[in-house]
Amino acid sequence: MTGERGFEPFSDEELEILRRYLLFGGLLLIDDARGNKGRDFDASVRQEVARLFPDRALKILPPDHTIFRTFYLIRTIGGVRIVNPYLEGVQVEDRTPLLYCQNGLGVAWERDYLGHWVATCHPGGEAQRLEAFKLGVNCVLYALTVNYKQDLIHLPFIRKKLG
Amino acid sequence: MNSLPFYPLVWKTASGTFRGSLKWDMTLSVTLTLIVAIGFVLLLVLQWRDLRQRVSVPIRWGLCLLRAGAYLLVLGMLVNPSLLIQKVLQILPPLVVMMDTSGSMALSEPGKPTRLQQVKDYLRSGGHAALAALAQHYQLKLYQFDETARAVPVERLEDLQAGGRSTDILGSLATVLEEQRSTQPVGVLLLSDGAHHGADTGLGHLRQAGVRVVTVGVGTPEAYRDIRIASVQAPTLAFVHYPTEVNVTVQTWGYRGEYIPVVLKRAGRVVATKTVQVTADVFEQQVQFEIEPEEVGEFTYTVSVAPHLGEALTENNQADFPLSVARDKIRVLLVCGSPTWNYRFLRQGLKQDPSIDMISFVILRTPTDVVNVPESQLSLIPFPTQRLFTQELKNFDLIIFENFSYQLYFPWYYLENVRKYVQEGGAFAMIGGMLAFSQGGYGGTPIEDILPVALRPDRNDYRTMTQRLVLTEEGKAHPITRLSPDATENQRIWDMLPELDAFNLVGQAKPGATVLGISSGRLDDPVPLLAMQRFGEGRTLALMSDYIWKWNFQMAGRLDSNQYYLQFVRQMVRWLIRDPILKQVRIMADASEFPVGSEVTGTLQVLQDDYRPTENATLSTKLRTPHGTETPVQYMPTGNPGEYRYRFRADQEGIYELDVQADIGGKTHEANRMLLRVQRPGDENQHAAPNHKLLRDIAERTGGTFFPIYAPARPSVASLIEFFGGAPSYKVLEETQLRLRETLPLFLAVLGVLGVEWWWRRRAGLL
Repeated sequence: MTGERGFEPFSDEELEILRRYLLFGGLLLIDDARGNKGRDFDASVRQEVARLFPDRALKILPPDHTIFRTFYLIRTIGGVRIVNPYLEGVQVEDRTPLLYCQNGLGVAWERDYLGHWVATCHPGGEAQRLEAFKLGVNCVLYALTVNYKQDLIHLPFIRKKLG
Repeated sequence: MNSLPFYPLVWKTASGTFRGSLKWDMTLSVTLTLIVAIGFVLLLVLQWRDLRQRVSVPIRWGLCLLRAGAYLLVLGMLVNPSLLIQKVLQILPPLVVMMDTSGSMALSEPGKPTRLQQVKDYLRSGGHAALAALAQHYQLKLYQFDETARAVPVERLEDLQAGGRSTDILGSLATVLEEQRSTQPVGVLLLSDGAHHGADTGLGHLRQAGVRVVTVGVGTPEAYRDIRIASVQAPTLAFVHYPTEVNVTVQTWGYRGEYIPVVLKRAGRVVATKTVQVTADVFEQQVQFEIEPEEVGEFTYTVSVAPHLGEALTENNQADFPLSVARDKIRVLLVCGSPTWNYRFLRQGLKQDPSIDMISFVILRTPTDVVNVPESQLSLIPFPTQRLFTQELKNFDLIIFENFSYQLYFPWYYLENVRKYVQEGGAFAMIGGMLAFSQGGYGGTPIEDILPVALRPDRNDYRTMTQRLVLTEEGKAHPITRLSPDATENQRIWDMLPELDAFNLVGQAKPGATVLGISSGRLDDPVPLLAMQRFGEGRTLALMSDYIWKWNFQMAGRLDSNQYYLQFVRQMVRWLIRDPILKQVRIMADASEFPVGSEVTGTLQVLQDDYRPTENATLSTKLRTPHGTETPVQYMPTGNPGEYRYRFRADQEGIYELDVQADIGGKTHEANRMLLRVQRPGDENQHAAPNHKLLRDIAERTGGTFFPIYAPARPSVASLIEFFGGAPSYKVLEETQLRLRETLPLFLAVLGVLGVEWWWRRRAGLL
């Protein structure tokens, strides 16, 4: 789910369907394409998330969260700009079905019909774009494997690679 | 009429017991009679004074006494006496005698008769012969008691045997006192060793009965020698390779200073030994064993102490206990060819089951995939195929290949290891997808051998075509696909489960395999979608679709619940690993414990592969007795399909192991085992130490007294009679009254006295 501007609140029925989707196994990645903190899309997202999970707040995900190691070992958050050097999420039991990034991941991924990037990544340039792609891959694998990389068999390898 | 009884004038003759008493019926009133008496006294005084100068003193005394006698006789006639003679029935006060005839009374000490014989000797024979002496003063009510009290005729005393299985002294005493409440006995004479196995709660109520109890202690507590396994506290369920504590309480009497080895065995093999140091004459200590079961099954453990010299009981030196050993965790190896939602929800289903310990490998990158970052920036780990498929297979209970093709990761012969693993009792499941079955390259491999369905020769067996899984008749009853015990509800659930968007088109089920679910979509002929079979000692399952995640996620969307998917996964795993609760031979017993000498009965149920009862089974049974002998067990069909009743007589104390194996259509099902505990009812063979303290307490609380039967200073029978007291009562049967005034002797006596006085006066010259 991505956007730039604020949007109309979800209906109760829509919220209920979304809540059920997330609680029973779905994953929602919300990407703020504009990155205006506290305004526009961000304000609407935070309002709807609060309605969606009244008893669970959006929290900054720690660096050792599974999302950062499902495929790539991610140390920095990419995007078209660096609004937040972190990812936020809502935790439900042992997984995070809702992820929120304000760095404009989709904008960083997007190409035009000729195959050119539609936006330049600031301030990190292509390295920052690569990080955005890596995070995207990790999100897909997180949706399909959840906490697979928390299995004990993986931990020594990952720790070794992370130094 | 008044009476003057003159007790104890009671006499017995051949015709009965008689009692006499004197009565009177006065002619005049008491006042007139007194006036007459006073008149007689005055006359006597006048007579005395008249004679004082005329005769000597002796004659004067003689004449006055004769006259006084005459006056008394006349007064007696005025009183009108009569003699009352009654033929009576003498009723002695009741005395209750209670004898302990429990099993412990059959024990004896060196040089002495059995405890019961000591009681008989005391009551019957020798110089004491207490019973005969007591019978002269009391109406004896004899009771024998063990668990309960029963009245016994006195003449049957010698016939009494010690054999009661348990002793409830307080309960028996309360019963007798209640039974005799209307007769008000003078007391109770209770003879026992004091070994009491009932509740202690009755002690406080004895005083309220108001009957004194004299207790006579049999047996010598100081001389009693025994070692007893008093209790074994062990769980009924333990887990393989997990330490389990067993606490054993050992009690000893009379082995102070000795070291006693306590041995824990399984099937005759010593598992552990601990030594108890006895530091007191009456001693108790808890011994803790730690056992770590090595295999799954039903086992009988035995805790024992070797019989020692002089032990009163040896039956209580051993205690058996059953232990079911289960897997601590079901160890599952899940290998998935690519990250998919099918993997995601299968993983969730397995992870949510706390009894499952899963290791999963998902192929996140194939050897041909190109990644644009260094290896150090990837979280990927090596797939340890060699270790898994050559060394670790036996450590897993179930291996699942989910949409996984082996071809890029390990050689063909690793699959042979999987086949052997299943042959020897392992479990294997293949779940469909583009990398499974023929498309995964399993045609012609050892995996094809173990799968319940044949693979198609062409390698393109994956079909993107919506199919609904429809249960076959076998599937409707099978524990994997039975999502509700109610058949109609089960059908409704399966009708409700979402369709599968793709499937692997396989061949027909192999002979001996069972198809649980088939396709119902747009195919000419239904094809198997879910099948299973037994292979060697193990089991295999094939699920020909990678879309069963819809049974989870979509159902959750509809119903707010993914329970049917989770239940399906749980049941699938348990059937594959041959969980005991899903065994096809079921053994049930009519009771959890049986007494020694009783007939053990129960029901056998045999189910075929689809878990429907079968009538075509051939059973083989094996019963292992506690002493280790093996015999078959008789069983008879009940008339219900696949159901049999078994029975055998259990004459030994301990645990019987019943193994039942079924042969159905040439296939032998794994045996099922049930452990049946057979116990000697009661506690007499467990605990028989004399407990004179209890007897003393009973006596003190009731106002009675206690003495050991062999005490040098024990009370005599006469003392007991004096202690109990009590007087007989009488019932009048016949009565005879003799009026003395109307009898000739009294009249002649008056005449005689007056005549003698007249004669004496004349001789003395007074007339």
